Amino acid sequence: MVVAVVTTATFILIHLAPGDPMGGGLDDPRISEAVRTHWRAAYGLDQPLPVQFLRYLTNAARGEFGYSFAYNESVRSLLARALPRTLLLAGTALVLSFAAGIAIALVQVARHGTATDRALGVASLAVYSLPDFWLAQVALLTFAYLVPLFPAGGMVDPVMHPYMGNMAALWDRVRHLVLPALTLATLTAAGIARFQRAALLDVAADDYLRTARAKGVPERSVLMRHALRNAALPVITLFGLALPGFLGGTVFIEKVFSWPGMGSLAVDAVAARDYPVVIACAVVGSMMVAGGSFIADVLYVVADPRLRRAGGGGRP
Amino acid sequence: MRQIIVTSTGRLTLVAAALCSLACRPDDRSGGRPGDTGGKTPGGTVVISMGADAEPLIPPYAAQVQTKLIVDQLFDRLAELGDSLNTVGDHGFVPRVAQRWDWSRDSLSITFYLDPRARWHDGVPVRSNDVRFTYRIYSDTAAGIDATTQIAQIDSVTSPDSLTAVFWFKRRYPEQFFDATYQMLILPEHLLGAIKLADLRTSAFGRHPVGDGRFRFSSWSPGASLTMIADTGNYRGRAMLDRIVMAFSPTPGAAITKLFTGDADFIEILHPEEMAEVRRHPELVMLPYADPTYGFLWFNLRQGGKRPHPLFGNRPLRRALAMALDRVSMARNVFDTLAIVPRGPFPSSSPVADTTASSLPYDTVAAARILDSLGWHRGADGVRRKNGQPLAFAISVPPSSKSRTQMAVLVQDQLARIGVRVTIDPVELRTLVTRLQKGDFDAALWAWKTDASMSDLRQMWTTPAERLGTNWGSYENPVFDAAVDSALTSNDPARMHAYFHRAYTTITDDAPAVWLYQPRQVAGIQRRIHTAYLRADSWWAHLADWYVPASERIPRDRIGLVDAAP
Amino acid sequence: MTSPLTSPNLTPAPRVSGAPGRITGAGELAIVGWLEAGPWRAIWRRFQRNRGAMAGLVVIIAIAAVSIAAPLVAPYSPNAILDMVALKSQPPSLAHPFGTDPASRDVLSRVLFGGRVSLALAVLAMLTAATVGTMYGAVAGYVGGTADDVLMRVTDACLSIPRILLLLTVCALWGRPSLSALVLVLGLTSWFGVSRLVRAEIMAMRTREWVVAARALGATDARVLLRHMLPNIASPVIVATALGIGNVVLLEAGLSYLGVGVQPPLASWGNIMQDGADQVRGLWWLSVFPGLAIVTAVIAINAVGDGLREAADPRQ
Repeated sequence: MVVAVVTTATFILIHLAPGDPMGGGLDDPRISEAVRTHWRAAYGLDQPLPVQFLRYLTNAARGEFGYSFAYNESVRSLLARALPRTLLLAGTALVLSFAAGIAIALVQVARHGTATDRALGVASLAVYSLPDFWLAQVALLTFAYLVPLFPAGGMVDPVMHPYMGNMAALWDRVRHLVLPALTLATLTAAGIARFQRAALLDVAADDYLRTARAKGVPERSVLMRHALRNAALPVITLFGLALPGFLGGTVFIEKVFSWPGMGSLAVDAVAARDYPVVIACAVVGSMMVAGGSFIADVLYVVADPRLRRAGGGGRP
Repeated sequence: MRQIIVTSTGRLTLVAAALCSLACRPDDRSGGRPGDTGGKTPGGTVVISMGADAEPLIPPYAAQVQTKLIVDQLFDRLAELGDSLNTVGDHGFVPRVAQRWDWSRDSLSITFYLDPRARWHDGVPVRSNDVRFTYRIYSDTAAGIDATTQIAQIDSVTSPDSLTAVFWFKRRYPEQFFDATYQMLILPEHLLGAIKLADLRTSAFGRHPVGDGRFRFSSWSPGASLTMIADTGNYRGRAMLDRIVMAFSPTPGAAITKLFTGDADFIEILHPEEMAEVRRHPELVMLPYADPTYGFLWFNLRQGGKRPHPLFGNRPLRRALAMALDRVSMARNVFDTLAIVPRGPFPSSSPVADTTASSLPYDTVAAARILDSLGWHRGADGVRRKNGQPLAFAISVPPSSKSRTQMAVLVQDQLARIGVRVTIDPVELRTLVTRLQKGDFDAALWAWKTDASMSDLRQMWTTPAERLGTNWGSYENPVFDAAVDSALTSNDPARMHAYFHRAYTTITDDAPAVWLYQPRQVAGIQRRIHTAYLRADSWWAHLADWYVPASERIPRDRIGLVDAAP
Repeated sequence: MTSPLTSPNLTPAPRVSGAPGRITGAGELAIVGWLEAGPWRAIWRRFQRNRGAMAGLVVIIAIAAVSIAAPLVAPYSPNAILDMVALKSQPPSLAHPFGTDPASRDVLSRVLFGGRVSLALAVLAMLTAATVGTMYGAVAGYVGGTADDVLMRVTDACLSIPRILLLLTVCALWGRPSLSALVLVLGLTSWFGVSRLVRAEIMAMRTREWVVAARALGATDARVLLRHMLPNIASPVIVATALGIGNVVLLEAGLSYLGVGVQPPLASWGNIMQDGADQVRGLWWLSVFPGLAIVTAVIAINAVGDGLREAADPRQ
């Protein structure tokens, strides 16, 4: 459903926009009409709009998004290359940020009202309010330039990597991953901590916990056993909700750290007016989010016994 | 001949260098002779940091510096322009695919004799049918290739035998030889011949090119890096370097950082602020070189190429605007001491530069007086008006160019001081080109990288170039056209210079543009790299002769000739 | 976008079909609580007791005041070229506390005027978003049924497109946006969350006795919606809008960093940083001062937003 809406919307967007939907290559007025016609025919742009739309839909469903003139490559192979890179970076950062975010929230709630709680609250508010690219630039400047602990960008050493042994090559990858993943995780963790703290406090105010406390269950145990389990639901919700913004953050992190993934691809495609790539990035990004919220819904049902009893299924 | 190579993993590998290189003939002046490397051991890696990825590696379509740099290593011309940059006759030209050449008695044809040892990197020999094929591709007006208009004076190319190619010209002129050699990199017909012209730009060849130059293509990880490796059996001798790696960064800032962290060896342009930083790094040196580019504020004399522009159709008005600009201070602001103000539409390194040409003076009082006399009077808001119309226009500028954007800001401020309201219109480069071609602009900040030729002037400013060339501002003056034509067909140097002087004087007086700067570039480079001469029109011309002394090599210099695993 | 999460506490949980009633996130509980709590005076009293939020309010008022008064406060005109040669790229000094940029413009003046652009842009964009989101959500919630289902599915789809990718797509297709176009584009991509919030409120209200009574007395649907229901959801919409402003400030900075935001020479906080982005080491003052302005303003806005929400939910 989501994918259908996005695909339709992008199709309408391209055809509303000024200029040739092929983008880039055909803008050049020196290209003769014969060549133009050849290309149009090759990509079905000479067909009536409804036919084009059907073609576009079926192609998109098969993962075909046309041809990129800026890269001189099919968009599909561009995506096939960029997507795993983004998944590596985003996956690492996602795990780190959820772990850190929840941990921070737990500490805050355990010390609710103390100076630690307030300090962590202010810190996560501050990080939450930072422009992504700014933090990334500061991280790059500090840890790659002033104190050169990590490489200044890229996924691997451009020269030496292909000649390294297995262990050295793996270490090379890890070294390149550390800074961007940590930066992205920091930015995301701040938001997660803020959300999770509120959710935990919400639960903490509930009656059954008060009962547990009244029965003399130790506070730590109250928090870990009862509150956290109930607060797991908001975390799953958050997972679904955080993804769009998270992917947005990835765009900036990739740009600053020269990480050649989907984000860099999208930004460069915008600069080069490479429409097919821009559209494909938007569609794939949305699909990732849709996939994420689907997983979130399934987890939700699994995690919440009330829903299981009601026989509810995940939202498609 | 054997070499011991230590790979980064510490293993010793024996690599046999191709023996055939010993048989090569020593007649190439600029290239290192095989078996004679002046006592230097070949080897080393140069990492060139670039702010953007390369385009497809199809020579006729290469437009950006990083792409030209690569295809110039992979492919050879028939003959190469000499370091003197002479473009008249064949003086100074160095043999490449053509071993030697003859002029016909009437000078209407040139016969090139190909080097029988020249081979494509797949082993197939380079033959005259490749030359004929190359001309066919470059001269096809349907393909949208830049060079097509520049080789329009070549009538045809024939190949009487497999090692002879004859260029036939429509007429005699001084730069015949230049046109036949400089504009075209020879392409392999056996790999490209079956591809339809319309599909050439998108063919798989552009990702895995096979050339005949001293470097061969090795691998390309789009958006990240591209590697070229020395072709050991090359007919012109093995390159001194083992490997050239192009490291692509998404932003200029990231590209320069790689130089400071040691991840890259060379960056082609340093900005004044970065030079101060280079000075703090003892392992880096700065390398100035000439750049035959001039930047200018371009007035559009005809809207849509038809009606005269309401403002810039007026010659005195254009002159007044030119006189209101403090060009020297502007160049100082943007380029520090690294730019000069050109006297006209030619770089100072041009063979036909004219040091006696006079440009319009910087004189705001005179400029204001001209505007007053034209009936443009200052209103209450300080903006000049005539019949209620404000004196206002937009300057289009590509935001990807920091220096031009900054120039636009300076122009805006300077013209505001004499009562002209300027708006800045940032337009993405490719869109801007389309708009300029359609004549859909008021004024633009543009930069033109001249080739080494004299006819470059024709390409940019003469009347026929409105249709075929890049005279998108529609400047027309028959006196100028005639002077340029006479100069380009004149075989007497003194008369030629006199004609050029007349042309320059005419055009600077007409002020179809304000020529603002000609940058002198400074490259940043790791000290261990020893460069060859950086030729003004293409600093990478002698890249194959760059050298890393054995004692200064670092691990990446010692990888050897092995290709990277895919 | 730029923050990995978009005002988490105010975005409702995904709807799960087949669930008994709606799963509500912490945010919605807060807002429902707020509605029940009622009068503004109580909220204000609680808000006043929150020192962080009060500090944020003071800072926001100060920044807004300085920005509005920029022509009086700024030492120079923001686009004045002071001395092309002698005053270019000067580090901070007494005469130019924030230094000068490469065109010799005074950075302090540019930051002051840039604040006007950045903040006005954010406020106008969020006003647009709040208006569109409220109307859309109100219609969906009031009409209900299939129409509601369709409308909300569309919102789901839009929510799942990473916003930065959507903005990049629009900018790629239509070229560089003018300031008003930017307001519109930012506004029209920020309303999805608000619309879901409003829909939930309206739905909950539909069966209240005073609504039923109004309808029984012959009030038209439009009148019920406009006169009776909308005034009651003003406060959660205001909180959502306040928190959204912080996000749009970050978004503008990010877009300008990628070169598709506010176009030079007009100063905004984002594009002053963009002017120095390629030379962060050499011209640090171009990144640091506008960066601090952004961070301060966004922290303050978010602190006020947090404060408002907490004040509205007395349980925390």
